Amino acid sequence: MNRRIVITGTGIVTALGKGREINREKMLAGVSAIRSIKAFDSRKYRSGQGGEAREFVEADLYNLDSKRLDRATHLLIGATREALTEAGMCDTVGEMPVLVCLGTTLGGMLSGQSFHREALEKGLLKARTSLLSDHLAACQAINLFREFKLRGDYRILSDACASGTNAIGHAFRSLRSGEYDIAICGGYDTMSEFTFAGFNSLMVVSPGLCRPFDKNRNGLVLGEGSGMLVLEELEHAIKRGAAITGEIMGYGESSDGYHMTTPEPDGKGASAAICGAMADAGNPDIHYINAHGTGTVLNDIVESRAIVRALGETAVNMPVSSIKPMIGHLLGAAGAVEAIATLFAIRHKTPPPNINFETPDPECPLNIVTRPHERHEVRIALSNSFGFGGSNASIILGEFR
Amino acid sequence: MKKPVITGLGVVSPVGTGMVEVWNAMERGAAGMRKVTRFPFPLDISCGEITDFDLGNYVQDRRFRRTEPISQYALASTVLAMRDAGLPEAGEDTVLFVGITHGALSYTQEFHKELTESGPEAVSPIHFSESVLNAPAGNTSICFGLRGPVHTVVGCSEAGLKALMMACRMLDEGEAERAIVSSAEELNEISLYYYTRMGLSMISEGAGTIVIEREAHTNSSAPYCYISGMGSECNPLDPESALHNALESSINRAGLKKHDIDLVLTDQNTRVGRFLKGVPTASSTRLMGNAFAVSPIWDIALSAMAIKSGALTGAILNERAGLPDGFNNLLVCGADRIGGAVSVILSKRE
Repeated sequence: MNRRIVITGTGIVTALGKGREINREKMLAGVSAIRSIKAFDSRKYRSGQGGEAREFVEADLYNLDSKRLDRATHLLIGATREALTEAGMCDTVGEMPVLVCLGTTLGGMLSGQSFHREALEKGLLKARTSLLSDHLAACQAINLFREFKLRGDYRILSDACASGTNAIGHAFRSLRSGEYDIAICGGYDTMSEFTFAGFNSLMVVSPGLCRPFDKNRNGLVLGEGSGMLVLEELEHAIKRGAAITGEIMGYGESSDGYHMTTPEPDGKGASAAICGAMADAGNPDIHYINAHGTGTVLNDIVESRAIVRALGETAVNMPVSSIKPMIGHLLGAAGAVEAIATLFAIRHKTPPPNINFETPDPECPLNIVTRPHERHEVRIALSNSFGFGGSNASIILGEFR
Repeated sequence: MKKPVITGLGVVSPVGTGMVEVWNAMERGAAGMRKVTRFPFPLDISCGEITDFDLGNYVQDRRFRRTEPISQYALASTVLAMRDAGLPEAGEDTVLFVGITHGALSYTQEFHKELTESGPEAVSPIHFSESVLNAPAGNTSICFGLRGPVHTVVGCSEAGLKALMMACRMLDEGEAERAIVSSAEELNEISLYYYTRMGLSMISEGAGTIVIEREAHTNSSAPYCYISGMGSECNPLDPESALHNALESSINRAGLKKHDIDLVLTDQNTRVGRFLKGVPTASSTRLMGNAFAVSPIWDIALSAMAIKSGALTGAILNERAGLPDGFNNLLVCGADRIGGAVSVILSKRE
């Protein structure tokens, strides 16, 4: 029989704020944190809006020196500390072998940008190599090990916008197979001009409001943040008296094998990930879907088709929402933050609303949750993530029974 | 663990492309280190630049002509490995894991240069979409029409071996029948400059791909060898202990003792000798250079060849004393300076 894998800690940093409580309160109330971007001059872009985590400056550090650390490390450590604190193991986590599974698309891109800008301005020989000391994603993982004196191993997955969900999924599988009893997993990414310019060049950034599944949607809005979870094998969690806040029930992954930036139009690839997660979880009834819901014309149609293809016509009645209009698209962190938002929906029986939704789109025949604090008997929920390169990942979360 | 078998090998390297060419170059002791020509570089150093590569020799699909070098290397090495495994196509039950250290730095740099010097209107969308870390994996999955799990594993020099470990676990759990494990890197002036300043030399580029299959599933008449044991650990506070534990764990999982290991292939700086006293070591770095995540995958390919052929070119051996006639168990180790280590054991099929 499969080992059951439960959630004993979560930590979150988004544009809505730093910490679980503020994020839960604002997400369930449908508060938007999308503002004019301040990290760089965004006036030269079609849209200067984004979800910057402005209330988060630096993580509390006890073993690392904050000098030369990329903002990515701070976001990662900030969310991890909250997750470990909730799990009751912030000071003791180093006593047991732990698997760290991270998802990121950028790693320390801000450091890389700074170095390259100096190299362009002053010449390569005069640019400070110290700026690159926290550039690679592996550096952030190592920083996490150093800060919390961890021992065990780390795996970093960079599967574009599916990275965070895949990181949770791989941690889940590693625990279920008995490789480890405990994992720290999730994702992080910063707001960088590089990415902002990149998505703008692809013409997928909304000049106005991000409104997933709305007939008049016209693009995504970018954000930054991190979401981290502590996963444990059930008996391990019970033995140490941990408070269990949810369960990971299934994980599925697939690839479109179609195009680098365009999803396969009929949603077959995305549907395979959903079906994989469903089968993995034993095909339970789903009560809520936290959609990838980017707000781009094609992505939302493909996701709708994938949901219907995987779950059948009953899917059109299931409550569905995307939190991206509130906090932006968090890229490598998206899946992890959305998994935590899904847990909020399960614990409070209240899915976060899909704000800015006004006009239904016949091409997206889903039951979009539009009102805040709408009650639904959510016990089991699906969370989707799809990314560049045709990466698809879905996880199923449930209340712990 | 049900031991998977290696059925296909593909290599793109500074000493040649394809296992036969690389093996022959190794026997000649041909080094791939030369002065970099791809971009102006202010320091006088040698590196492993690939100068005679044409993707059209391996992939005819023109969609991939504008991809960055790292994806082109990954595509070519995968084509070679699939051919070697006798697989005309990947099939639905194939997973892909790609190990990366730096990714497509040349396009990242190009995009950022366009943005900084000319503004947002001047940037190329292709330079952005092809700069993402999973571009090599994405392009490979598109080229082969892969529909199963496709992942990019990021890390230091052990990332390729971690990709291999994760693929083996999926086979072991019955989640896939076959895995393509690839690793790729490309030379770039910024990373070259950074590592030169950090005291690293002989930086190189290329790709390596291994096809692994469940033994019961393979159609290959002559797989190279088993993957019999793996171990991995990270401990930045005590990197030597992480290396020791990774080595010990892989040996235990293979059901072997230290003295069963015939040879260790690893980077010249990895101090395996402290834990495996008396076991001869070899390093491909002196001929092929240090291509970060790729180098241990090259070592896996060379080890698989060595087990099958019973010999290994003397040009990469650090010492000949204690070297047996033929090989039964070879250990490949990837360790970084900051505390991560992975060890993989390849064993001869009975």
